[in-house]
Parts: sequence; C-alpha cells; structure tokens
Amino acid sequence: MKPETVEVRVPVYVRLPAELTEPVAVPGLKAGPITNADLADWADALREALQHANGKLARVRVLQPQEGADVTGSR
Amino acid sequence: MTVLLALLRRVPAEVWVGLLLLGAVAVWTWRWYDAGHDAGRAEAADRIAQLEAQVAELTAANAASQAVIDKLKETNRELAEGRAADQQAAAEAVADLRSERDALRVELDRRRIDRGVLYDRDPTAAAWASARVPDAVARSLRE
Repeated sequence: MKPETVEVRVPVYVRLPAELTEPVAVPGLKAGPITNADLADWADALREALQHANGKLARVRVLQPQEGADVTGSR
Repeated sequence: MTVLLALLRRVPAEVWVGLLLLGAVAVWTWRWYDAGHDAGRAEAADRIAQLEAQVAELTAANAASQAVIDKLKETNRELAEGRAADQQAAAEAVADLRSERDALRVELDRRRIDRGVLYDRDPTAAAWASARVPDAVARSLRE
C-alpha cells in the first residue's frame, strides 16, 4: 500500500497571554471619613484603572486574528 | 575398404542393436537435460522479472513515503515559525502593557502632587478639598 498525503486545513488559534486577559482590580474608596480630595484621588485612580484595562483590550485586538484573515493551517 | 567391410560383417547383430540402443538413450538423455535447462532458465527469468517489479514498487513506495515525510517536516516548520512569531508578538504586547502601566502610575502620582500644589496655592480649592463628604454619600459610593 502506498502512503497518501491528505491535507486537512484546521483553524489555528494562539492562546493570549494570561496577563492580557486578567481583570483589572477596581480601586476602592479608602475606609473611614472621606474628603473631596479623597474623591478626586479616587476618580484619578479609577481613570488610571480604566486606561489600563483599555490598554489590555487594545493589545488583545492587535494579537487576535484579523477579520477575513486565513486562520487555517495544514496539518 | 574391403577389409573394413569384412570386419563390420563379422560384428554380431546384437552388438549393432546394443549400439543403437545406447545412441538412442544418449540422445533422449541429452534432449531431456536440454528441456529441463530451458525450463529452469525461463523460471529464473520469471523470478528475476518478479523481483525487479517488486523492487520498482518498493522504490516508488519509498519515494512516496519520503515525500510525505518532507511535507510533514515542512508543515511542522511552518507551524513552529508561526507559533514562534505569535509568541514573540505576545511577549512584546505584555512588555508594552507593563511599560504603559508604569507610565500610568507615574502620571497618577504626578496628578496627585499637582493637586496638592493647587490646594496649597488656592485657598478656595483647599477648602473644597478638605470638606468632608457626608457619611451617607460615602457609604453609597462604597456599595
């Protein structure tokens, strides 16, 4: 019996780094009485966390296969 | 000649019959051997032809197997290179993200310091900053 080459095209996905998919911790408001200055600091911390989360999403978008791209490989 | 014929006439008929039989046996033996020899050569030729056909078939099968092996090697190499490129891109993305996170923290600290300077310079801002948030509001923000 002669061997025969059979080409099977299957989707090939690459796992994203865990660091890109880990949730970003939500900054908490400090305990005890708070002032407006504490609120301002908290708002800044929330913005920083949101920017960090958006940074993760942007990198996930770059790494994931583009729409219409050939994600199949011969096996 | 006459003497030879006389000698031949004196040979008994049984001797002539014996000689004829010996000749016949010799001829038959030779023909039997020759036929066997030809059959053996034909059989050997058939066997050689069969072996040659088998060799050709095995050679073709081996070439096909080598082609399959080469194809598998090539596919494996492409996948490995693609995977390496993907891993490098992922590592670069993680490093870039960490760098951005560090910059965001520096920026956060800088804004906090700037606000402190603003509070020091502007009494109205300082008064606003030090005003206490009602406990009920604070509780609602923590929920």
